[in-house]
Amino acid sequence: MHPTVQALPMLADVSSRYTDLVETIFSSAIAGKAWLATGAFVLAFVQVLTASRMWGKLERFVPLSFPTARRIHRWSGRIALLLTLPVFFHCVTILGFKTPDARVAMHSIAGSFLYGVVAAKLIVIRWKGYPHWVLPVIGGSLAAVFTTLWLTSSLWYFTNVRFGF
Amino acid sequence: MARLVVPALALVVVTAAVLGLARWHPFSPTVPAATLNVFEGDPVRGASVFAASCAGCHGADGTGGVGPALRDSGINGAKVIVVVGTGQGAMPAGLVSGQDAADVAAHVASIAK
Repeated sequence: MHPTVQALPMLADVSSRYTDLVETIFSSAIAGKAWLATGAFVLAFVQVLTASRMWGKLERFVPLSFPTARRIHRWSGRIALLLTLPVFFHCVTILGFKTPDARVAMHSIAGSFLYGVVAAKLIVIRWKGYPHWVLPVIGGSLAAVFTTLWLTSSLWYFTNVRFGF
Repeated sequence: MARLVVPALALVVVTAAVLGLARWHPFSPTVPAATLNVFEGDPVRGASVFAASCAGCHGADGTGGVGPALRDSGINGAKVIVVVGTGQGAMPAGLVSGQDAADVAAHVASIAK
């Protein structure tokens, strides 16, 4: 525990309380993180499909009207972001930035960028007048970050530790 | 192009904030010495927990793999509980906890002698 936090009794057992809470559903905090990240990753894939449909691509594979695709895109994004919050809390405030090997280093670096890319994307969406290529590039970058994070964490957990809740 | 400065700035600022918080990681776990004796480990049950959660990296018989060998390593149960609780190297903290951690520690201690 960080010395500053040790001096604050209310915060001192945040880590164990978080673990206890997650373990009411999952076998361990890491298992919970792996499954929440998997949910976010699946929704990120939905984001790519619906965004492609809105940009006039994949119309044969994603037979949705534009308004439906937009609605699914927005809600899948919101839910994906919500699913990442416990993962963010665990990764950033409990485990921290580490580089003991290539997998963990890649995960730490990609994870640091995730919310930065989300912030940039939200600004581009809200403020009109950006060049046509900006939004797909940012959206694609976000999907790439999500994919990197999932491959270097959840997939590792499911293949090396256990595939279960 | 000048408008791209704003999202680029947001990217840099938010990333830097997350990176700073991750470097600080204020809630990183520790295992107080007092908790080491809370659970009494069952090495037989620990073997099945080990097979489910540890063998992928440390090998089914504890002779190592991606993770270091534990068999004949001389590591004791208290050290195992601390490492499992706080993480070490590529192994994240808290892969198993509570009674599972105590049982795994008892199993590892039994094969590490």
